[in-house]
Amino acid sequence: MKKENLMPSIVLSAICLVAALLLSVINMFTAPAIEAAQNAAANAALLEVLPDGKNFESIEITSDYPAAVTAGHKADGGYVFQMSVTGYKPGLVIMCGIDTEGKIVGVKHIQSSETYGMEPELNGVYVGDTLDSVELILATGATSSSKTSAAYYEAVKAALQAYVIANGGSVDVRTPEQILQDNCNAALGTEGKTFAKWFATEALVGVDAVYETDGGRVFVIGESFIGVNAGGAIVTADVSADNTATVNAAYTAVTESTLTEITTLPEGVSASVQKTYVTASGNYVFEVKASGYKHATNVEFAGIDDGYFFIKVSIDSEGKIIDVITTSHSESAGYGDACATEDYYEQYRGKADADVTLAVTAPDFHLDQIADGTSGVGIIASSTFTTYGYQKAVKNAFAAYELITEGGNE
Amino acid sequence: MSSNKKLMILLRGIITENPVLILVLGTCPTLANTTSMFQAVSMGLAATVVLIGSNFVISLLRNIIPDTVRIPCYIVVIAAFVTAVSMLLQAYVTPVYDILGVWLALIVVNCIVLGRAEMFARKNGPLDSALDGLGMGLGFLLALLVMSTIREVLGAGTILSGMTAFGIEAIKIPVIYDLRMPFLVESSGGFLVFGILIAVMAKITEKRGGLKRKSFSCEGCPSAHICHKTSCSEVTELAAEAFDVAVENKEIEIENTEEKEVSENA
Amino acid sequence: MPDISVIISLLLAGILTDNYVLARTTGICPFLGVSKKFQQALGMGIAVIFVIMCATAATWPIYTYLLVRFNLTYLKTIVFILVIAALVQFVEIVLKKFIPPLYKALGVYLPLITTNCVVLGIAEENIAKGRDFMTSIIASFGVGVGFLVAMIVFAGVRSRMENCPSPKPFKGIPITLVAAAIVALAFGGFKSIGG
Repeated sequence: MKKENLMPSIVLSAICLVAALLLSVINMFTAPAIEAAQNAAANAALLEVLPDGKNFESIEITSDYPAAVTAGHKADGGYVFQMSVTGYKPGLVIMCGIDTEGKIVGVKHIQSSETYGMEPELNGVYVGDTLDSVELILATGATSSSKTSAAYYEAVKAALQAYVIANGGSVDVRTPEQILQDNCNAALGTEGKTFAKWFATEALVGVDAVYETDGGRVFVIGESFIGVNAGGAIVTADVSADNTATVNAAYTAVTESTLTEITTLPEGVSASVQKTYVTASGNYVFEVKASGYKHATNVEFAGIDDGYFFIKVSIDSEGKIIDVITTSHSESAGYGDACATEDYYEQYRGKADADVTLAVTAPDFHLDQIADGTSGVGIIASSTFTTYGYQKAVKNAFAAYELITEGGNE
Repeated sequence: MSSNKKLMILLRGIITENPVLILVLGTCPTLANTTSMFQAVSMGLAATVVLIGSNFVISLLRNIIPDTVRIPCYIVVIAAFVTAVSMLLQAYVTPVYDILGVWLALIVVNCIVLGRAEMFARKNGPLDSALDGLGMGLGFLLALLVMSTIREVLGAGTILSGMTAFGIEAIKIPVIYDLRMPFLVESSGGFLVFGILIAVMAKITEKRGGLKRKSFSCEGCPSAHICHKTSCSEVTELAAEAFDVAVENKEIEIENTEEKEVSENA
Repeated sequence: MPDISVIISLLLAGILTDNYVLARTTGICPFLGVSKKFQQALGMGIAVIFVIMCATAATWPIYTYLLVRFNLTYLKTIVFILVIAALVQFVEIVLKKFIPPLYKALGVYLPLITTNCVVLGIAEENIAKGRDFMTSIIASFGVGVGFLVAMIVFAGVRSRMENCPSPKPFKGIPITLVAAAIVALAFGGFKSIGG
């Protein structure tokens, strides 16, 4: 009786055992082939961006590589790097193949949740570029894709830098902003301090820019960074006599430039002028609120009162602009964000009211796109809204200046 | 045994007892793997290999396997063949492995395979069983091919799609491609084409006066033995009755408690 | 525990957008065979949810802690189907002994579930997609509920269809399949949910 009960379980177990054994034998034969097939599938993706690549080998990504690089493969015929960047949404993963001469041969997105489907176009635009020639290229079409474009540029540049590092070289993977901060810290003998650009309320002869932090200032003359501590003494070593004189003069001008707020403004000053100051030497500083791309489109299409940008304008006693600066903005990357660059500020410096002409006229301005090559002070190609907003804000500052100084003359 | 009889065994699966169109077994893989001809043929061939192998082995073991544990034993044999086929495909014919995906593993629960073990292999010799497996497999393949051709041509307007890995580009059929009905390659199109196909088969066989289509009966159902040979409809009737009784009891209970509460409140 | 948005999208996929029965055409046998009456559909659906949850709770740890550890992943299918078959038997015995009312209502459906591809399908999918334990359980629950919903909806359609005349060759399964096509088409409308 017991034997009969036992029999079925024995047979079942025996069948299971034999089946498992036979399968393990088959597994032994197929396992290498399966692995080879899986490798081939993985290499197929690599081959798409580096068609001449052979014998792909994974390389270790150390902390020397740009942060965006997540994986790398070395092959006969070049390298393939994989980057993870953030466009509209995080998780845009791009593969980039670079040949032995450091030229990009293929770019492909392998994961993307971008909204505008610009990837196929952007995959093609950087082919042939090297680290020296690579520049931000925007996808054609709407400004909506600018974040995707910027992310692609970041990824491709990171790949090119990674290529140099993989070949035993070294590259500065710091952003220009980081380089500036590092230079300032070096000049002042500090570490890890954050420097803010001094907004010029006085024309400083011979000095290109001044950066401030608690405990000192750094004066930039050409390529030289010269640190001055809180007591007014130059702390940077080996400064030429000329530069010492220039910096000392500039230091005095900067420290003496105290701002007095004007609270009662004459009638007719635009409400967009939020604050007005005057310096001891009779220069004026205006803080102006301007309508940016997002504000203009939001108000018009969605009725949302948001998306302004804020600028400061300083005007000397002769009615010429000393400096402008964008203190905050939310303009599109690769388009309107040009309004927050040194090059853009430079266009306004030394200009009088008459030099600044509105490139487009409200209210129909969104119908006129500013074409590439259109010249004039403060024009950003294809960023109609930003251009108009900025120019209008500067004009408002000039108008306020006129009203205040006329009032004073009477 | 005459060769004539062997031929009969083979042909039965393909035509008179076609597992898909006449016995209506293996509906899930039929609906899921007929969006392209390539996928259909892949599934058909994989299932045929499993059918031949499992039928042959189960028939060989038919005198050893005790009756009480035969279903688990069959399942193990079938699963072993499925795993072997799956490993071989993954190793040497990756595109086929990729396109079948989870359906490769699901051949294990394809009623045709377990059904043939239960209906044929355990009562017949190894050679006949293997032949039966081949016949049934080819019948399955044929049905899949017919259905996938209809769905791919009318639904996608192409033939031979999905075979780029073998160096074959999909051919767009002029005119039909522009008039294609994409819903046919969706699940809903699968149900529709399958329903119409079975109806057409019924019409044809009706004229010939012969074949009777089997409804969801125990014949060919691998689970029949577990239901203690009561037919599906009987089982479900029983279940429904049991459910009704349970609901009634519950209602009575609720009524009782309600009455109780009412009386208590009073 | 996975993120709430992951949970919601898994449940939505299982129940509506990627319904195992209507979108993936899995588990068609019980869908066509046991949906003549509302009570049958309900009983079968609940039994399937129950077995699916148990099967996932059993197969996931077995795969992760036994098969992967001992490098036996190729035995996955064979182990899973045996576990599911044993589980169904076990559940049947337990229900019979300890919860007779539940056994009366669901017991008869249990044997039919062993060869239901939904159960093995979701067990395999959870492994193939590399889901963790809790995510697997949630995904399985979504798929089970999706099965129940499909069964109930279809039972409703069929009860109306019983009294309708249909052409002779279409009697029985073919007309049922055509009705299933229309229900599947309706569920296809959910596909845009959750993008």
